[in-house]
This record gives sequence, structure tokens and C-alpha cells, in this order.
Amino acid sequence: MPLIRFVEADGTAHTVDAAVGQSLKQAALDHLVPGIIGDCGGCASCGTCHAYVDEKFLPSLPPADGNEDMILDGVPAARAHNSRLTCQIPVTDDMSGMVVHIPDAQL
Amino acid sequence: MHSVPPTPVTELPALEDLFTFDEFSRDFVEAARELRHRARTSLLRGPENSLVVLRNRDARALAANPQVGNMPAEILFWMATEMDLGSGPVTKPEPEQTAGFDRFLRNQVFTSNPPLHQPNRNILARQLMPRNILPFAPLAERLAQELVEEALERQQIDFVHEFAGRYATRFWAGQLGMTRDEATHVQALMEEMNLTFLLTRSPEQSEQMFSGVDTYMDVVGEAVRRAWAKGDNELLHAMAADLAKLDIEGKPEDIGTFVAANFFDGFHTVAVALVNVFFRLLGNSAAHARVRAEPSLVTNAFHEGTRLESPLMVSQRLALQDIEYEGVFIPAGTPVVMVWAAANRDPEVFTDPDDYHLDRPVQHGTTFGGGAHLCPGRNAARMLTEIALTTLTAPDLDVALVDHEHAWVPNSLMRHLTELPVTVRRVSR
Repeated sequence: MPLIRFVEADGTAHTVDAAVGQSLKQAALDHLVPGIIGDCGGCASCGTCHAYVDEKFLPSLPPADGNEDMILDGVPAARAHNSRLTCQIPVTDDMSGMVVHIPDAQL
Repeated sequence: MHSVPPTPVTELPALEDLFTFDEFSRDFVEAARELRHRARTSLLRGPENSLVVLRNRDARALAANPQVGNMPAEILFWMATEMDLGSGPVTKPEPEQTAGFDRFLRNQVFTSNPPLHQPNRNILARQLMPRNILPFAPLAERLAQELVEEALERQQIDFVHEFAGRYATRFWAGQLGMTRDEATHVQALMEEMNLTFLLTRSPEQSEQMFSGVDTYMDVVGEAVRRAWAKGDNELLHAMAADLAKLDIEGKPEDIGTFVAANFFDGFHTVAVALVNVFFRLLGNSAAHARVRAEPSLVTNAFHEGTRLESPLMVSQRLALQDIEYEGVFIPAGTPVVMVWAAANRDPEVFTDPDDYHLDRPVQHGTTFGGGAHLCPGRNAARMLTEIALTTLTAPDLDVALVDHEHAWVPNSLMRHLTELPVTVRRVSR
């Protein structure tokens, strides 16, 4: 299983074994990583699973659709070019080593 | 190895075998708590072969399932005008009586389904995301302070009508370009709008409800159309621009009707949430003292208060396609009754679920629904409640409950108090 490293805003890191096919959001929730909430259950409706995704992996990820883009525009933490909703990113084998930075606020 | 065929909804244990209707409608939260003990399964068969969902994990999973959609306006209309819940003969109203109510339902995001639902919802969601509502805060702060000053002069107020109701209606009226008189009128209409949440209504109550909804749609719709035509209201301008791009059958009629139908929750349910959260906080002196000493805890108070006293206790969804979920076959067209009040007190998810804990994690609540149908106004509801709480828990202010028997309105899907007398006085820091 790919190893994903989630890093909280204060620098605390959590390396988790993520299951291929699940979303990055679900991998974080399954391993009780603080800072990823996922209020809506993975429908890109709330923005509470926002994170800054490892730039090395950005080109290989499915692009954000218009809905995700709209939600990201309104999240409380600053939006960056690598901002994504982690519920919209399925884990794949080639993601091992990915670092995901969690913002300081989701609500 | 043989696979076990799924159980049809019609063969699930029946809600009516566990509860009488009167018992269920008297106090929904008590009933939901009791159901946890009486129901051996998580999913039950309700009226009209509906699926009743009690547990948190089921409510969240089914809410996030795209095959579980909104209950369409025409079914909700039928339920309000013709459905017999055993309370006596139903008199079908005349069409002219119900025209406003029909428009109210048809123009709500909460009654739309794909392909209309997401773009329709996004008209609201875009404007009400956390970053986008930051400019709303100064008006909320000013209004909360103004209402505290009024309360200090009176020394004792009914928090339901003389703080929360005024605060929510004045706030949204201000954002939407309405006058203070229109805000006062809208607040008065909320008494009649409350009747929309009753499980059963007398003919007189139905008449009052239809009349109130009709007037509400006219008052807010006309005020918003006037404010939009002036051209200087950014919120209305942005929503109207998104609405104009929508080219899907069943789309909202116009900006006035769209706002009237969808900001009802802002005028009404935000006030209910504030009352319920503040009532819970005032009822717990240790938590109240902590929030007064540490204002950032208003966020926790909001989440815990709305978890325990979720304003909307139940909402109805509809299976848009055949669904198999956890061994249960749910045919297309099955009403799915989400009992948010039960899911919010599920012991599988919340330790000591009926207790008030300020330190409880804020995840897993179902107060605002879930999935693609998650309430788009929840961020604004939280911001408004937190601003009011911050003002009301200032160290130089003492707000206390008056000795009074607090009564939750019975027979209602909305958890709300008829009145909440509180004393308000200045104290030295």
C-alpha cells in the first residue's frame, strides 16, 4: 500500500498506509489524522478536506473540476496552486512518498 | 457459497410497531433516544414504506450516496396538502390558497435533483463559503451589540423573539437590501412559517400556514427584486448572474423568488440554532464560564449545541434509483427519512451522546445533513451564531436563564422553543 505523509500546520507528521482506490481524505480519516474533517462525506460539497498536495505529484492527479474549483475559492485557509480537496483524489500505487500539507483551518 | 438476497424495505421492522405516532411526535429527541433502545436494527420501515435511518454511519453514508436525492417539491406538496398521518380527515385546499406554498417548495434547492441540483446549490454555496462570508461579519457584530444594548435597557427579554429572531431577520434583511420594516414583517411571519414543520396540522393551522408562506414569498421576493434592480447589492448581483447562466428545466423563477425560497433558513433556522445553542450553554454553568473566559470556545459551543438540539430533526430524501445498502434493497421511489436528531446522539460515534461536552471533536455531526445536499448556508449559520455568542458571553455582561419551564414545540420536525426568558445585566470585569 502506498505510504502517504500528512503534515499538520504545526509540523506534526503522520505517515499512513493508504489503500489503493480510497480517497486521500478517507486515508486521513481512517488513520485519525487531525485537520481533515470531510463534513460532506466525499462529495466536494463542503471544503473541509482541503490540503496542499505534493507538487511532484500534481501533474499525475486528476484535475479539479469546476465544482471543486468553486469550493476551493471559498475555503478559509489561503488557496495555493497545489490546493486540492482530498476527497477528489483517489489513491494510486504510484503515490507512495507523497507529502500532503494540511491547512491551519478547515472551518 | 450462496449470497444472501437483500431484505426489501417492506420487510424491515416497522416504526409503528415500536412507537405510536403520538409518542413519536411529542418530543422527537426523546423519541429518537428511546428508539436506540427499542430498535434492534439500524434501519426501519416507516409510513408509506419509507426507509427510516437512525444511526450516524447510515445517515452519513446514505446522505453521501448520489442515488439518494432530494424529495421533489410535488411530493412534499402532496404530503402537506393531502397525506393522512392518522390525525383525522384531510381537507384538500383550493389551488389559489396554496400558490405561494407551491412556489416556496419548487424554488428551493432542497427540492431539486440532478441535473439541476448542483448548479442550483452552487448559486448559494459560492456566496456562503467561509472566505466569502467574511465581509458579512461587521453587520452581524453591530446588530449583536445593538440588541444587547436594547436588552440591557429592558433587563429581561424573551431571547427567542427579542434577540435571536430580530438578529437573524435584521442581518439577512441588511445583506439582501431589505428595509428594517420589512425585516420586522418577515420576523412576524416566522410564526406562521413555523407551521410548515408540523407533522400534522388542523385545518386552521393549514390555512394560516398557506397564507403566511404566500405573504412571505411576496414580501421577500418583491424586496429582493427591488434591491437587485438598484444594482448596488453585490450578493444579489452575484447570485442573479449565476442564476442567469442556469439553463436547466425547473430552474428557479427569478432572483426574488430564489432568495425568498432559499434564505428562509437564514431568517428562520439561524435564529432557532442560536436559541438552541445559547439555551444549552446557559444551562451548563461550567461550560458557560469556560466560554466567557476563552472566547474561541464559541465554535465548540456551536457544534455541541447544534448536535444536541439540532434545529431540523428529520428530513426526507428519495431513492432516485434502486439501491442496495448494507443488505437492504431500497427500490427507486422509496422515501428515505433521515432522523438527524438520532444520528447526532449515536453512541457508536459520540461518547455519552446525551451529555454536553465542550471538548468533543467537531466531526461526524449531522445537523446540516450531508453529501451533495449538505446545507450550503451552514458556514453563515455558524458565523452568525458565534458572533452573537461572543457578544453575549463578554466578561462584562451577565446573561442568565429565568426560572421557567422550557417547552420544545411538540409535533414538529423543527426543535424550537416557544420562548426563552433571560436576564441581561452589566457586571464589572
